[in-house]
Amino acid sequence: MLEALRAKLGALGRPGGGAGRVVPLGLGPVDAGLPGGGLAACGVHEIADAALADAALADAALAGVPHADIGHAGAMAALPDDGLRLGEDGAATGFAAWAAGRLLAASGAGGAVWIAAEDDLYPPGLVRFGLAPADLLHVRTPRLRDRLWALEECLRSGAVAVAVAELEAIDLTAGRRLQLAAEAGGAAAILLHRAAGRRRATVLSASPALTRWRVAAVPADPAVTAVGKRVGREAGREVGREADGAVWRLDLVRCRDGRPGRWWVDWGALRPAGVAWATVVAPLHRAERGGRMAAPADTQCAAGYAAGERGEQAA
Amino acid sequence: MASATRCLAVWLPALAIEGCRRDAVGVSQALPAGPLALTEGLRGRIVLTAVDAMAAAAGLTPGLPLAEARAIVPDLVTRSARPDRDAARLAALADWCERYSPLVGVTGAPAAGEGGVLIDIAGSAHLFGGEAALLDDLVDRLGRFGHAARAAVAGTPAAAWAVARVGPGHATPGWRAAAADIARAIVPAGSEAAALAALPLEGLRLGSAAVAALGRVGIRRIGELAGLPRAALARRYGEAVVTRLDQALGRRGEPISPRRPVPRFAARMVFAEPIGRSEDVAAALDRLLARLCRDLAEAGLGARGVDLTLFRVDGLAHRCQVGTVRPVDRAGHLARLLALHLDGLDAGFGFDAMALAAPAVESMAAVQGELVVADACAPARPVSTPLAELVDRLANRLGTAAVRRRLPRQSHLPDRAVADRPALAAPGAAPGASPGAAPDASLPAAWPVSWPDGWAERPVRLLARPQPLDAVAPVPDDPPVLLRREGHSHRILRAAGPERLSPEWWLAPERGDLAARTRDYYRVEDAAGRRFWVVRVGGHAMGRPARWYLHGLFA
Repeated sequence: MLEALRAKLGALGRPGGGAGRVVPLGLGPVDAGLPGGGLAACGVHEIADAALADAALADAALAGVPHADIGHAGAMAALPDDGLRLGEDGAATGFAAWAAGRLLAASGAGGAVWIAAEDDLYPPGLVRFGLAPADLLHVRTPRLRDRLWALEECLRSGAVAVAVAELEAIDLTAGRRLQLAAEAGGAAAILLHRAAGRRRATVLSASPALTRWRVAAVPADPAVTAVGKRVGREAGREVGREADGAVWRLDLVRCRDGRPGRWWVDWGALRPAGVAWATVVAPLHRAERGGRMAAPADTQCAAGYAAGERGEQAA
Repeated sequence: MASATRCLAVWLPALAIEGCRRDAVGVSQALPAGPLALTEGLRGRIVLTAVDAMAAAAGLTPGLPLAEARAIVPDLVTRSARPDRDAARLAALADWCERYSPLVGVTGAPAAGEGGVLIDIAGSAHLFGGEAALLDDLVDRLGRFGHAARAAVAGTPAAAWAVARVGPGHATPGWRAAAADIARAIVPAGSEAAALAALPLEGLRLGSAAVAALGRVGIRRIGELAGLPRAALARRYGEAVVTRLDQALGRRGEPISPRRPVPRFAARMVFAEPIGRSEDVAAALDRLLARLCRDLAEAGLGARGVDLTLFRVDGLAHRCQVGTVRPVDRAGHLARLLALHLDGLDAGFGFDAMALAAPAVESMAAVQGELVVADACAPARPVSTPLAELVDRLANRLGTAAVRRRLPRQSHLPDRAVADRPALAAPGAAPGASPGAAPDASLPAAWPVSWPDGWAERPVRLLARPQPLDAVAPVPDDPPVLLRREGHSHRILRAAGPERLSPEWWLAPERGDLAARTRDYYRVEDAAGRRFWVVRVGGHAMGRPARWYLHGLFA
């Protein structure tokens, strides 16, 4: 009953045909925390490099401070002086590629576009996260205005399932415009905010994005994630943790119709056919602060995306 | 044949002087009033190349040494000649002349006062109310731009040129001020011989030696030449004399060599009053596009791009070109592409004509149905028409280089392992077809279905310019335990490697080069969990000091 009403309300709020469609991320507990069980296929999602955000602000968000208060807490916040300002890590890029790959696989037709100011995206590295080079159209233009224009063109064209754009901070008007374009064209936009090359981070201002994520790479410490070795055994052979397995701390800072959350995603080692196994640790708000996790309610899920499954069939 | 073409020739005798005066407008050092001449150094002397009306009236002629000219006219103003500027101006005027017809050629050397434009008006005179009206319109407009011009219409380019160049009154210094009909003439079809009979031989564009030789035997008019036996004429004075005569009289064809290829599909529109508002331009463009696309559709063809030329009343021609990745015959799509260029266009005092042309057309049959990109390790996603149109819009605003796919190619070096490819495959390339025409042989015909093993170990970001690092490694050839970058330290907790990558042998002709260019890559993870791809060049095994760089970021 409640669900039906909610669906009705959602349909009223959004024009566009398949506006209510959601695409699961393939990361069990994360999907469970999202409204409808996945990312909205028509809408704007924001992913920020964690280096951009002051840790305190992220914590405040997780502690339940309303989103608007964080947005206006200040336009600029100094980065913690522990070397984070050295630049980003690739975690945000990887998560954006993963989300884009899922959205693309879920759409029957349409392509994926990656709009960037520079040419440092490396397609072979994205394959692991489910984005094949041939599916991806690269658009490079240094000016922010041109990137916003290109993104809006892509969203409105109806020919694109998902467009990722590397942007600096944009204002509320531009964000709302993008959201309308995404609904009109039935496409998803992923705004990727990178930290590279900035001495000070811009705290993301208010925006009409449906979800906002912060992604950080964290050390694969067995005491924290407790999943290090298990992946290897599940895969049928003992794989020692090398520098292969990424571990992300995934913060859902804001979510329309949903609640913020925090997960750890452990990519573990790769299986030969290229299927990535992600292990997701369910949200435990005090785990990190306490430095120890009593009983990690972890779930392991095979994030078998389309390309990987093909790889298996071929093998 | 002679009656099939009608050619308009315009002679611009004073283009160099007019160009000099035009340049001086609005410059701080204005030209002093008085007779003006252009000069250039010729065999150690300075001679005049062009003179204005005042100087000509005082008796100066081109070719006179400057010293003599100064003796005749002490207050002569001189400027150095600029043949490049004159040629550019003539080319610009020829572009502008395309408002009358798409077939426009230039002739003669503008700096020497011989510059002119040839226009084939056979099919377009009626658009301007007949040949006389077109001629008047052209000469009047050129006069308003500040160019004195003599023009003539005849059945052949050579005849039109002869009448314009040496027709009645051409030697009168004040002909410009004289009756207007002196400067314009129309030779009715078929009467070229009669019109040319009384004209001097110079009008035939013969070499000066041939004119002088004929003059010695008393032949000074074209009519006198026409009565002579042809074989003897060719034997004594050269083949060119007969050829030029035949061309003038229409016995031998002479094509106008156009400045630009004349498109098969074109549409043009001339307005009674100049238009300047962008809505008006858009409305006119819609009508032109509708006409062009109707013609294309009837022929079963699509345009691979269109050129729009907007003719401003002050003699400038704006040209906008858009390209498409596939043949297109949909007016709406072309209008959206052209609209990107019309934004912020300077209309000046308005446009009085527009021309639209499709320079390259292809069969639409190739596009019917869905094309498929011959692709990498992905399902062949059909390239829908909306996607092709999106690529057109992006490429036309951002440049074709800004929109592409980046596909793997077979190379060990990571920076060479990705190649830029066009956003869409060429039409007609069926999936699985052998890419025999592919320019790059290193591109495999079909991408492997399973991924190369190494790709799992590739970063998501590859820095275009690797950043130098200080690294501490306990043992040579071991992974580093500490990295320093921009004054910050990274303690490395995990590392994997080295992965030794060398350039292909044909890229390093000598053995020593190969060793020097070999790189050792390490995947490292620092205490904060950030994962880098660092590379060592040189080192213990290479016998030279090791240098470290940050080359990539892992997710």
